[in-house]
Amino acid sequence: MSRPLTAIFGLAVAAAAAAPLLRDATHDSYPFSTYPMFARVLHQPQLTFAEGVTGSGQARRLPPEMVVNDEPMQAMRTLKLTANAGRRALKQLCAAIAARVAAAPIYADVRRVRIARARFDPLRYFEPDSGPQGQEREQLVECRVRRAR
Amino acid sequence: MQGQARAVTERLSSWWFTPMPARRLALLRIAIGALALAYLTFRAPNLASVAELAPQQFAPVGAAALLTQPVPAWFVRSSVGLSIVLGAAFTVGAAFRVTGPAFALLLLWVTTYRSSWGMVFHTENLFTLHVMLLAGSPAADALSWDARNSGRASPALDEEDGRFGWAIRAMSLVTVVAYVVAGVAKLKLSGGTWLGGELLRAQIAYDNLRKLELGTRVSPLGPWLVRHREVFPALSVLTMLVELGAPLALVYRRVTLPWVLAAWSFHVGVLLLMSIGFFYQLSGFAYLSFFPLERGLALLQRRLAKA
Repeated sequence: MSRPLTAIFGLAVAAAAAAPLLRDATHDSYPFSTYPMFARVLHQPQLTFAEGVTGSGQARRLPPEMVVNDEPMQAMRTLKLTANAGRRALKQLCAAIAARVAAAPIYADVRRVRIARARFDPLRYFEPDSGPQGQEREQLVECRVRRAR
Repeated sequence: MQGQARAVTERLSSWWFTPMPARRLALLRIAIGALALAYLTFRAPNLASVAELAPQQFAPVGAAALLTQPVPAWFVRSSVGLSIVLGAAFTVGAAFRVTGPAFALLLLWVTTYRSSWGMVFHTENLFTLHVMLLAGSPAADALSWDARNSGRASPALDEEDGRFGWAIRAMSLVTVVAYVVAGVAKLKLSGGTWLGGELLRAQIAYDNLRKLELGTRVSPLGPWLVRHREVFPALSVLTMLVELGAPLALVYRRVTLPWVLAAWSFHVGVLLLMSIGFFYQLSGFAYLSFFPLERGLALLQRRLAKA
């Protein structure tokens, strides 16, 4: 490439990387991001999660790999977006999670999958006298884990 | 006035086209290419798994915004596979005029598509942009398959020219810009509140909380530290100094190493407190463009020769 072209190319990439400074920080994109991580004020955030329920009624959280893949944030977004998409989408996701649970020997005791959401106070969550409690807990959908006999 | 403008332009131009050795640019290509190749190989299952997400979750960003619907699963998997092949060619500098830009574009596509499902990831931006800059530069003019087999005269490894320097300058500039943008975002979204420390404390607490509620393990350091609110104002101020102070690393050579160490430490802190691994920054490779790599290599070669 000639010098003028290399200058234009390099400067264009740098300018594009800086361009997010001119837009609303909440309008994120890729790869020219506004990098809004850890920047927002939190007000008792609501979290959607998946649980496996055993035959005795005990519930334990299902990890991201059971929801979609090994990326926690992708699993979190999938759960949240599905919860907002309505009951049909929730049933489909529940069934998909249940199929993964059925194929995972570590969850052999899980009979049902439940998707629920609750509000949490992040700072009180880790206080010794408060403990990890969610408020306004709401069950969204539940489905059976079907295993081949 | 015109004379001043011309003087500024010439100064900027001479900074941008600072003569730098062919070997330094080549070493950046090899190091960053190898890291990109390792990343793509190990993360291939995750990168390809987006093909299984529900279509209604598709929220394209960047170049993917041109799409009205998700692409077929075979296309996603093929893209990831081909990116690994091209990544190898990029790293060794084979047919670089074609494989360089092809790899950069495919890497951009694969990482953009991954961020197009409701969650924009921020761990791949910088290394994608660095690969793009390397791809558009003569990064395979030395220490490459092409240089060895082209039959034409290659530049001497220590030949210094501005045609090698601009890409290295651009990489450092893009690194600095990324940190500044992140710092400005914090001020835009929460104003001066961010410097008080409570917002950072709540963010660290929330990140650990949601990972625990999602059934993943977290480092015990984050949950422990959020109980000590007194450290957070200092952590917030230090974070802001690293982010908004980044341009100083470009302007003042004495500031470069301390800033790089501070930025790297910031990412170590993010890993320890929130289990979030910015692999490119943690590896140190994000900051290689700030340093004369060829001198480090020469020193290593001399030490090995003595041993």
